[in-house]
Amino acid sequence: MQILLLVSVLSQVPLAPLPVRPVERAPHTWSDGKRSYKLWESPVLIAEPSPTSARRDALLALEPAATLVVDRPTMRVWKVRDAAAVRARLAELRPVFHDSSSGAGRYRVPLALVCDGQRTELPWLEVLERSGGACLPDFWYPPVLK
Amino acid sequence: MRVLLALLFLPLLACPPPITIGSIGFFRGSPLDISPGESVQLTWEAENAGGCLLNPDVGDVPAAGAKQVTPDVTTVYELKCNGAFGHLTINVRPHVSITRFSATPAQTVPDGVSQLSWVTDSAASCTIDPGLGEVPVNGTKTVLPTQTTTYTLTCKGAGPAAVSTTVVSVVPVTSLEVPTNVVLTPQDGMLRATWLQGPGSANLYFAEQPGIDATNINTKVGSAIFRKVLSPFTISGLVNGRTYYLRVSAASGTVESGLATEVSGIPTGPATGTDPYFSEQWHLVNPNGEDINVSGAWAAGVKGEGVKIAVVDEGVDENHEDLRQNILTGAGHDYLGNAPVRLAEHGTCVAGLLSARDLNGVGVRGVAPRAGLMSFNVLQALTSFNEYDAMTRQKDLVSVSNNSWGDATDNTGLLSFADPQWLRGVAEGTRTGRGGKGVVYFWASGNGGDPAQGGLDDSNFDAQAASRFVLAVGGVGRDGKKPLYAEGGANVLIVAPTEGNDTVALVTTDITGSAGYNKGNDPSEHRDPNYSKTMNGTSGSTPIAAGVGVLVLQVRPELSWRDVRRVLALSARKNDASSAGWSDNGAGLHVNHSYGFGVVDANAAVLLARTIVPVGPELTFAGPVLSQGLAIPDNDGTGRSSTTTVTGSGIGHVESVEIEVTIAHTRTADLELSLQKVGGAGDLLYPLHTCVDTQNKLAPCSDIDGFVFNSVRHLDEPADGEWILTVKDRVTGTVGTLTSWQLRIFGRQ
Repeated sequence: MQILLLVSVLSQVPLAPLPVRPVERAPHTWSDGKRSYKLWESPVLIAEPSPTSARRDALLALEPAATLVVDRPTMRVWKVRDAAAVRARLAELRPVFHDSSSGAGRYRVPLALVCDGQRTELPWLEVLERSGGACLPDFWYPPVLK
Repeated sequence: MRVLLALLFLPLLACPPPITIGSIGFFRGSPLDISPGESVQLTWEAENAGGCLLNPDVGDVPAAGAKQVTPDVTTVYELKCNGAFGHLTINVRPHVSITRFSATPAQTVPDGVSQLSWVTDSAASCTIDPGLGEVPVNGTKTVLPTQTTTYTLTCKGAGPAAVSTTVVSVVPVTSLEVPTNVVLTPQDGMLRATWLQGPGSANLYFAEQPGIDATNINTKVGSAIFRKVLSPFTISGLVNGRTYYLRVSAASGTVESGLATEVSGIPTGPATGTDPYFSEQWHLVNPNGEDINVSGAWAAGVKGEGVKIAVVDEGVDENHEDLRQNILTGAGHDYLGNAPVRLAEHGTCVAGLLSARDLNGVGVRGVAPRAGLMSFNVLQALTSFNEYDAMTRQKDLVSVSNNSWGDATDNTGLLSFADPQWLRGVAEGTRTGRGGKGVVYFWASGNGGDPAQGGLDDSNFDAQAASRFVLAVGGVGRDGKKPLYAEGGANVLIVAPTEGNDTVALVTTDITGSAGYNKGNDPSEHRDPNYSKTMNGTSGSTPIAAGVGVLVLQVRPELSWRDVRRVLALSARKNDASSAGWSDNGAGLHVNHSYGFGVVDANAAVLLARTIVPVGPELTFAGPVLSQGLAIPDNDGTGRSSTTTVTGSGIGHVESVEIEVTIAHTRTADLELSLQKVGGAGDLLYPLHTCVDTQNKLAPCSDIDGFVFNSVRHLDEPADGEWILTVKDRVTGTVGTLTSWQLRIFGRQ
């Protein structure tokens, strides 16, 4: 009876928005061949390379509350409640990585790996893991006007 | 009685029984606006009616109900219910269609002209592939296909996209006639070339020296080849009064004709003119406060003629009335291929401060109003390898590269490493650009200096502004003081005017019309929508300083990028005399963490440039990596110091110093890091500051892990001597270790 009552009460309470997840603590790394750098995957930002209206519609259908953070001709960055969940449904979207564990400051999107001048678009994890030596990542950055 | 009875009932017989008229409570459709093939849900409710008639195409319906209809064309539905009427219009948008898409001529030669023209109906947008991208819904475009090409016009609107194709057949030629009637017509800062030719397009061989042929063009002063162009063709960004030479060939695919006879032309402009908004440009002439003292240089004819500038930004409105005379035709680069000009407001403001044309009867004046401009709109596609490209593109032509941007966010207090590709680009550009003299990169110091806005940035935290290969420019207001937002740092070379704490900003060019910062409807904006008076930040101060660099290179084009850096520092003017930040370095030069060597002074810089002895080859000293593992005492005003002694470096005059540091500490926000040359300048490399997260709440600062700080404050000091790095932990709670550091010094004998 008590459980039933609880269920009844819960069913009348509006659903709270999903909490914004903090930046993941475990960083990824990439290398320029001389040293390695840490990156933290954003739990709420997601990147849309080569934006199209169809992809925007698909994203908004999946997450109507998504907000546009950066709108550039070659890249859109969206804020969503759970970037990983959205990316699992829309494979063409890419993760966004912060340079800091706090999520502030510069962020970047791994696009491709350039090995001896040959540019290859690869899954982001491969871009990061294979970087170093003759292979360097091609990142996209949101420009900052000063 | 019968009569009476009859009279009594007469009214009843004369009046018919009461008629009940129906009424319509509602008659709705959803949606009211559809495309062909889509359906509309009609709903209604009538009172006092046994049923209704819904037309067209439906018929009898109940008094209340719903019906789905699918009209092919816009239709007015009528609901008739017991004498009551309701009407509802369903608008059916016509399907987009292409009425005509054709090519004239349909057959041409490689690189020959064909004109595509198209007419559409009900289209909202259209694209043509390959190559043209977004186009108007009706229009014409000229194409120069190299091979037989099928052009596809795709238009979107209501219904499925309409697609049409047209083919331009390309038939190779075996020979071409030499063009005839080549004429160069002088204009202000430009030459208009016209010629007659057979099929194909033309190659233009252009230079400032006569005797041009196809094999020696690259050896000629001011040479350029314009390929696959059509008559008429205007070459802009030229110097009035100077003689230019041109030869033209016909070209089609791999076939090229001989060169037509050489012709020459001399651009000419009005002898006098005005810049109506010049008096509003306080940064140029300001009798009551700070300016860059440029009038003397202009009076001496030093206006940047012959010097070429790359505006690395979002793009530039190259057709702006006050810029187009200085745009170097064909020299810029569009990283999108077809970038709309509406994206170019920031770059257009920057370009005007650098090189808005003077004395042309319109607008404003740039610091170097006769310099040539090229736009690299890399910020539209800012990737690692595009950063490299933008730093090295046209590196033989580019003298000055203006960069009022970054890829790291301000106001966070965090350290940002430079992208390796960007670093490779500026290293290569300074080493091999401009015939080995080096491209001069001007870089905005940053706007994160106001603690009220979040984390407190020092320009040295941003490895682009802190690179030894760039000249970092800070800001100063009309009152000669640092705007709160402007970032200082040991890496800041000079400052230049921009919006100060009095909020009076800079007047410059803006995108033509209402597409830029100035929409034409803001009373606080400039009255002329082609101009803006809101340009600010170190984005604004940087092109002003870069413009002075252009003037320096006009009078001494043989100076290297390191010479320009030294000229600007030595000629800078001490401002804000009451600032406690001023001190003299070991060479007796005044320097300030907020202002570098002071406010850029154009006249002084040009005068110094005429006589200065070039620095010659660069010498480098790299000290040992000191890995002492020194514990940093907690909350201690003395801190921990480490000394490296430089002997026999051969560097009698320092130009810049790099300090690479690694510190193991869990709260780097507690730290303060400084370098002291014994008998020389002291550098605050990492001030005590806060860092914030995306919510502007206090957050951990960056690890200091192999980060390279830069100082230009030791200019002209000898490198030999003791250099002391000091780390202080100013807040109780955590301790750490100075893991390692290395000193690298760059300079000359």
